[in-house]
Amino acid sequence: MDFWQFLSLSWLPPLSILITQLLNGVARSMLLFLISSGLTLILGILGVVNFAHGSLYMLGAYTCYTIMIYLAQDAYSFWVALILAPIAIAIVGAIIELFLLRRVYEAEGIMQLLLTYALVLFFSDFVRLVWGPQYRDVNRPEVLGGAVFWGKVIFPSYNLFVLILGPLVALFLWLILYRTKFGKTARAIAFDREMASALGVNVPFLYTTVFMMGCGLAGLGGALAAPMGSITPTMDISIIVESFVVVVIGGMGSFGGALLGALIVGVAHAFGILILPRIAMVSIFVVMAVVLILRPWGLLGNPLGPLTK
Amino acid sequence: MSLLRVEGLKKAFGGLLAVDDVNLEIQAGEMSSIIGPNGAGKTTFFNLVTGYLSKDSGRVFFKGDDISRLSPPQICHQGIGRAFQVSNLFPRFTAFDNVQVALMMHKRMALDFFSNARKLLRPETLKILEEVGLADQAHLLSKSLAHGDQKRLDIAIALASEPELLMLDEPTAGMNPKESFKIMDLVAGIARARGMTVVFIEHDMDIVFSISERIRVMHMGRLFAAGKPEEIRENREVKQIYLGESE
Amino acid sequence: MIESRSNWSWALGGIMVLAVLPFFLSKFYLHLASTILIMALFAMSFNLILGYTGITSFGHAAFFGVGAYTFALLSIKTNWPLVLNICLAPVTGALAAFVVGYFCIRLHGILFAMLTLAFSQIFYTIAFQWYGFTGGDNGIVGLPSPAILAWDKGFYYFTAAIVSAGVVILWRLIHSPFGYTLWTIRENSLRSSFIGVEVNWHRLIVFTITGAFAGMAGVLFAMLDHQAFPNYFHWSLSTEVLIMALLGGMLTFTGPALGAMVVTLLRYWISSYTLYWMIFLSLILLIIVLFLQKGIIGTITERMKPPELRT
Repeated sequence: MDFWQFLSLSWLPPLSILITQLLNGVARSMLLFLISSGLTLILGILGVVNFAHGSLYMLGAYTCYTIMIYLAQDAYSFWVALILAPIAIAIVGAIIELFLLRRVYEAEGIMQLLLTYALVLFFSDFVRLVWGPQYRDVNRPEVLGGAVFWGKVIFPSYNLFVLILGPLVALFLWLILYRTKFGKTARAIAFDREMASALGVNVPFLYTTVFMMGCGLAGLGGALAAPMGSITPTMDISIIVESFVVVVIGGMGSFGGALLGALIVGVAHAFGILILPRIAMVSIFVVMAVVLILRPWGLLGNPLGPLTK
Repeated sequence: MSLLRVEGLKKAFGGLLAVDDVNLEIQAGEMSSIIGPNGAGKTTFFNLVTGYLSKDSGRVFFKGDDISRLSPPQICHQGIGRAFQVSNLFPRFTAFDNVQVALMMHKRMALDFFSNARKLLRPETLKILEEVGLADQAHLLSKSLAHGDQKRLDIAIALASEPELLMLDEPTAGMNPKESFKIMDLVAGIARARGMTVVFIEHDMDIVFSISERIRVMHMGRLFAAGKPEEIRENREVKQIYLGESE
Repeated sequence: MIESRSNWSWALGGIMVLAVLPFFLSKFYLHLASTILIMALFAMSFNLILGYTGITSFGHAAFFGVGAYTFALLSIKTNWPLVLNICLAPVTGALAAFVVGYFCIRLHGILFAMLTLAFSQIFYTIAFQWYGFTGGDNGIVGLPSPAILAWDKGFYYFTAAIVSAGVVILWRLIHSPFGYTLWTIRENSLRSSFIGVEVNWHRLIVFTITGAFAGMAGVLFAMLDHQAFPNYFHWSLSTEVLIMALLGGMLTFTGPALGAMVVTLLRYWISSYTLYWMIFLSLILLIIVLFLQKGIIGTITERMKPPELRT
């Protein structure tokens, strides 16, 4: 190939494929965004970096699998699982917060980190123990089994569903945080915990509730991801690393940043696969490295610290 | 030539102008204070001069050299020492170690990988501890010291860098009047002995008016007034800032 | 931060124990002892950043693996002298640590930890997938060692000598002025910068140094087992070395060595019963975090201090 052939971009895949990849990338971004916003929620309000978030996502996927298998994967099984799995994971989150996390709020920062890390280790093998090391699959619900056609672009209906659900959940989250009393109280705690407590806010209750919400979001992400690909015992590490890249790129504690970061990572991943599958992951790190060098607090982050807006 | 010269210093946080076009000159040997209501921008001013915060605009000159772009470690080596509003110590070190390590840094030993640090600079460390009156508590962990002693240690650490300009942020915060005067007398004595220039932020007006040779008043990020204590005491606008219109 | 003459007697005692051990142990246990020594070096050097500087890294296995693979690849693909191959391992380990550290050092806490994990995943993926270069998941087997080291007692003494030298270097480093700057960074990095320490540079330097030690541990391990595998880069190894340092006590010098011994022995014992070693590791970590934050040796030495020196 000579220079002019290169310049004419004729080596690029056809436009329809590019658009398909872009849409798939954005669908994946929505999934990432769901998980990253759960992470951001917990970070912003509790000040805890929940390393185990990826593990909860994985648990959500496996729970979805088990529910669907139990219901023999009939037409409604996915929808049931989509509702029950996040709830189950939220309950797990409550247990974690009440019995484990509470004890290390006052300790050195590293202890929180290590606690959530211990949970990662635990769930990693736990999942292998209960479900075995082999990959699992679930089918997409029939109603979303097809694809949408637009010219030459073929876009799976399920991905479209995820693409729409993502922003809806984001909107819902925003409404809760900024338009309800609960949300306002939660944000007040993020801002000044002692003051909020002095004003009569039940901080422990809110901590547990917010943590449950964050975990529920992870579980929802897992349940949504279950029909999209394989359910594997290594899902936790790959998603948590990606989520952190999202948060680094977007800025810690910023929901807008989580969205932006998720979009960047999802699309970069999608195009990375197109160009050179082996290094798709590496391309994301390159983006992250660039962001770190130019703007270490993230694109939409606050140089002064997380969740001041 | 003035020791410290600040030109057009500005810093905004979001929409809030914390430091707004501050110009001042501090002469060598001066013992001066900066006062003003809470939120006037005094600590931000300190943070800007010592390189901890980046400036939106403006320049800082120390002994004629432009130090506007230097980082805190570099400014420390230039000869500006700083003590903090809330004692900023190394909690699990002993008082002795706190000062000793600051001394080692001053002597540029940061990249010495080989010497046995414990044996270094012991007499010099003791001397500084004696200067601030902590020699008998040298072996205690700094976090177990009484509040007033912690503030002394904070100052001792700053002194270890042999600064020509010592910047103290509310040195008497949390102290009763007797302690406050004791510590400021100490500081004044050390400043005289070392030929050191001192500028301190204070809220305790008794201290301010009895010890300062020069007082500067900040309000809403601006340098409002500057002058000798008698001048400031008579300044109506200063009174208004502090006491409100009812005066 | 207390040093006394009794340190010398402890050190001497330790050396004597190490010297006579081979005469009491069978070949299998000698192999285990060598493993423990190597892990002790890894863990103690890792503690340079964890306990002494306050930096948490989740990806240190990367530099261990780099050291092992440097030796393995050079041995297999070149005719370079063995000694050179061994010496280059810590060099490449340090280089890798410098590169990773350079990108990450501006971040702190969890973000830094996550990034080190992410980078180590890259190393792991490269080792695992690049068949042409690294042999992929087959690893590199059949590594040579000099005749004298083929003798298991010989290898043990070789390892013990290198580990001892490493420990001495670590001790000198920690008690040097540079070492003191690390402690200030851990205790109060803000004040540290105000007394003249270039905090981020020092963090990068110490991170690089630990990379060198990790690489050394890696090459020793590769020689011990005569092979190099991608799982030398795996995050489970990074986790183990972290737990070793914590279990022994991250604020102590010898703690990580004890942690190395306990974790290695536990792993051998538990792995003979079950595949699910991670669950035990996680329980150990949970116990440490909830009840034993100073580690075993840390808790003991804390009790022995007079009240005014307790942290």
